[in-house]
Amino acid sequence: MDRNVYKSAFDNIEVSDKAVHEVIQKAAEISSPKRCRRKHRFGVPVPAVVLLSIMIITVSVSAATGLTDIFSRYFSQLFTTEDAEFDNYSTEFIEKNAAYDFAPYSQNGVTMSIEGIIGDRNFLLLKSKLTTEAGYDEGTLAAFMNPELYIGELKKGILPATCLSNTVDESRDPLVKSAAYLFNYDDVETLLGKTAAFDYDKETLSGKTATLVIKNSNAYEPVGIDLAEALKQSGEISIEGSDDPNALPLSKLSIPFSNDFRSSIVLKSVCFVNGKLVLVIDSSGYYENPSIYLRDKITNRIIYHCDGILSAGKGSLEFYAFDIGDTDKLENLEIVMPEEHHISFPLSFADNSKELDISGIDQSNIKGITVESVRISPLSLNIEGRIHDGTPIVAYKNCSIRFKDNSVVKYTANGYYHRKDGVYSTGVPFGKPLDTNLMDAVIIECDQSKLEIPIN
Amino acid sequence: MDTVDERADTVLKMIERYKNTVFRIAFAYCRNRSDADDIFQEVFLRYLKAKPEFSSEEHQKAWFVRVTVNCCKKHFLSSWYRKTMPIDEDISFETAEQSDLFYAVMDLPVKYRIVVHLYYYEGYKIKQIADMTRQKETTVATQLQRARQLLKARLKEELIYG
Repeated sequence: MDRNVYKSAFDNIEVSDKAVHEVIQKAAEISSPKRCRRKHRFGVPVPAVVLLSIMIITVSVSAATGLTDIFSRYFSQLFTTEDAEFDNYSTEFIEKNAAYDFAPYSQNGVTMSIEGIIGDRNFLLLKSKLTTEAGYDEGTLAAFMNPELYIGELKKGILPATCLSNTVDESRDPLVKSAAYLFNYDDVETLLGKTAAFDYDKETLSGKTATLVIKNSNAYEPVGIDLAEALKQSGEISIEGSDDPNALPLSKLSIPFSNDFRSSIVLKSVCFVNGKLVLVIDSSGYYENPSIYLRDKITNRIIYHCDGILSAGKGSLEFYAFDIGDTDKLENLEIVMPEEHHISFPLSFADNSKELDISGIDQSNIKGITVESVRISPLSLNIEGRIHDGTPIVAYKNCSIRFKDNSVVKYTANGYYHRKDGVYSTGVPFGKPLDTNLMDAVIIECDQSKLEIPIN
Repeated sequence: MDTVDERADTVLKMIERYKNTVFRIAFAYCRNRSDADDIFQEVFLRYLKAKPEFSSEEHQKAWFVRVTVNCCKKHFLSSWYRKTMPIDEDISFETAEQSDLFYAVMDLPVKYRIVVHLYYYEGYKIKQIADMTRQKETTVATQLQRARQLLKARLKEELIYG
């Protein structure tokens, strides 16, 4: 293979100005220090926005966009769209069918109360109330708005469900927000050999423990380890030459991190190699491979960050290298990790989905797909079908529900996966709970042809 | 703490410097502009949030490459199975040779595409690719070897190993 030909070919691939423009807009919003408190009111401080708008122009990206437009687009991506907004029916549905009574969780002036949970074989919708007290921490509120969901025991290898949307309604009381998160936990079957966050075909969700993991990347907490002392205890191993993790000698340190649920992370060795501080950590008892940060104790600023390198030859140990240059600097450095909160609760609900009878449906008019099963729930439409030509993304692109009042609403599949040979499955989220009794038919469009499947 | 303008200025510099590196890796992974755009955004927003410190330009570039690869993997996890997603076909090439090679590489399985791109386009060594993709060196070497064999079969040409 000729490297030059390949390079020339790939030189034709360039990012579009539009994509650059969008990321700059988002960066501008995220850079705003006040974005969390007033995000629903488009209240980013003006000086920062003006400044950043000037910068957008200086990098010669496409035409300038009005500030209101920038804000609207930004917020519409992060939060609710018209479709996803909870109406009275959705709220009542959750209250009637999925009410959840669980002790509220409070941190830094922010309280999360889980009000209702509803789920089906693809999606789980969690409705909560976020209440803030005067002087609450904005970073904590932002973190509560973006939780990760894990189902089952938090242990190494567990995968989070994908958060498809988070909807936050502004109530009249600015200190109370109603939030809803739609998670997709059946979305992972990839060529990388991973598994789904939860496989509904094999197990039921009821009885499982769910954990919301809330990470506050604006606040860090120390893990209670004195680095200089740990290096001393480790024998002040200092090596010249190779910094290959497999060549490093290990001391017999065993210092657990002090914070609560992170106590299963253990510092096993500290050494100094070619000007780098190398921390050897065993996180086999922890649910993820941790990222480690070093903070300057005086300025409180994060100076170093490392995601770690898993050792090929030393079991589950991970190596974290920080180019600090000199061991004298250790006195002023401390290991910190982002502030994190866990809210665990038992799942207990019924899957309200039902399978539609398609045995008598004439499928001769629809092209490109043979539908094998259709399942509908208040949260989503699930279709399995055999794809003849083209790709599943085209075959499943246009799905609609016709309601009994003759209104038709189109929904978009957010993807599909290969369930078995030739059969592809898709879950089409509605974004909010709907009453299946008010639905008249499912309409699947493919290759300019339609298949209508009656409900009930 | 950096001021707002300092942080924004740094992000803009990074976008100018690494926009095509990031986008091309994402494209090599996803094979279409839409997904590559998403990953492109994710990488620079991660940079903004993480505010990493770099010891050198090489370290800086390696961070962007590694985060891009991680974002690509995450994208495949969070998206549904898109193995049959068509390759963007609105790309123009100067020569048929470029076009043939490009589409031959795009036809490779994703794990081979990424090592081929990092090796042949970005010029990284096998050890560096192993670090970035968190795989063993022997795994990367094997992937590169198998990718070459597949390309050889497809292109029916003598390969020049870089």
